[in-house]
Amino acid sequence: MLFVFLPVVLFGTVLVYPLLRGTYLAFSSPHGESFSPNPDRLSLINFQFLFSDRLFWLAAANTFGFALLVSLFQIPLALILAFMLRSIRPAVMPFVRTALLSTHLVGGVFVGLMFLQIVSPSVRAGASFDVLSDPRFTLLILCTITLWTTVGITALHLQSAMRSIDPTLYDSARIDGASGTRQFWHVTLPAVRGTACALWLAGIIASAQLFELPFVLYGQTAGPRGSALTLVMYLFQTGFASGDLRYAAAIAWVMMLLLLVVSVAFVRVSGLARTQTN
Amino acid sequence: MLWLIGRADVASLKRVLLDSSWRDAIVNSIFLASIQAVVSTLLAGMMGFAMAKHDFFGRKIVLMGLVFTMLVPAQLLMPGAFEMVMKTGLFDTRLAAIFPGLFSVFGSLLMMQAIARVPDETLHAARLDGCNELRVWWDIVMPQIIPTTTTLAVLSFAAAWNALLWPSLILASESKATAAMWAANVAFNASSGELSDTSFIAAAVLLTMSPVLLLGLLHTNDD
Repeated sequence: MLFVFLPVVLFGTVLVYPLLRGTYLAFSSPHGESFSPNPDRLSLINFQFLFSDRLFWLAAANTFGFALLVSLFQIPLALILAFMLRSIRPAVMPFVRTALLSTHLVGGVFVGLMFLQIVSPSVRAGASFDVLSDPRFTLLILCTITLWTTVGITALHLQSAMRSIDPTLYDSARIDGASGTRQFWHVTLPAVRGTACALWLAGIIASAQLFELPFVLYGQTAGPRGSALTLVMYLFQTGFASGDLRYAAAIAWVMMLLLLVVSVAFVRVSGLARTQTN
Repeated sequence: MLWLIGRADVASLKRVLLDSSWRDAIVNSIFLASIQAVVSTLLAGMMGFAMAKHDFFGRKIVLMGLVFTMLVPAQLLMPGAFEMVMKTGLFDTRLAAIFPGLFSVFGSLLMMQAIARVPDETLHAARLDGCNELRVWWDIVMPQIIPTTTTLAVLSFAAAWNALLWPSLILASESKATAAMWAANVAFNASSGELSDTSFIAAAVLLTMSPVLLLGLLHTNDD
């Protein structure tokens, strides 16, 4: 089996080695330059520094606040949209599908650039006030744009789950006199619950990795009073702009642990593991 | 979205098209994204075939490794990968810019699921007829999973096209900049006040993302 070898070797060099090396970097002491060949002493100093780093916790709060706000709206909006898609004529469906998918294919950079036309003060010279320099609007701007990019694809996933619902269930609900809204609550929602929860979790994980959008919108800065500083952006700034790969690795590790905690809590609360075994 | 990009007029479309840095960036991105899409899809197919239809030494360990790395955010790999790139002298090369995308964990698992549904009998028949494993993979397995393959290729093309963080770490010289880096630069000029031409921005967005949108359009119309 020679050709098993090739992907496995690449898997090792592209993923496993950087992962292990990054872990080692996170636990090594920060003296000497990053690329020196001599072995470092293992220590927890990166993590000690991290826990007292105000900027890191600001970034963490921003990131998870954003992920929470996005996740509160993403699934409900997508559910409503997917439910509405049922009544669309099949002939128009390919166009609707493409339209919903298109916002997902466009990357964060391009989306950010597009929305700069609305929010940027220098582009909109006549605007009465400047939303980009007001920290109260940062979360709102980022969430709105993110929802714009993600609701379409989420609705498509939900719609494909809805298509597998037995149509006789709707018929019997209608005969029993259930309105459209009640059909949604009592037939559609229980049937797609597992899919919705899985998408919900995937959405939280994806939004925790927010980077391109604030990077583009706020001119590669952390935004007004650091309100657009996300964990990935902080990792980028410390690790690559100022060259401390060890500290960057420590940030990445703590970020992953936080994500893990959130994911486990979500699975527990939503009963995702249970719905999938049924 | 139509409203936002609809503000592009013919004059600014022309300005973007005639911009040599834009053309370089587009050529770079088409080149890099195509290579990444083809290589990562083929490798995912190989990996999927090996995982789904063969029982080799260490299969379980590899499977666990795949599932585990799927949970890891890509940023966790970056410090280690960046150090590796610096040490091997691949900094500012195109190979290093797509290198983390060449192997797709998600793709491998997707292909594994798809290939698991290919009936074993077709593989046995091909082997009896004297096909080696490479031909069984290429001539028997891959043709049966074309929809999954094209989906994966389109997604990985789009991912490569949209990637910003890693390429901007690796590609230092301007001539190697990708389309996403070019767009980020336009955005930087716009937010710092150097550029205030709305129709230019609209034209830039429209033209820079059109290859991906076109590909997506072609793909959704297939099925």
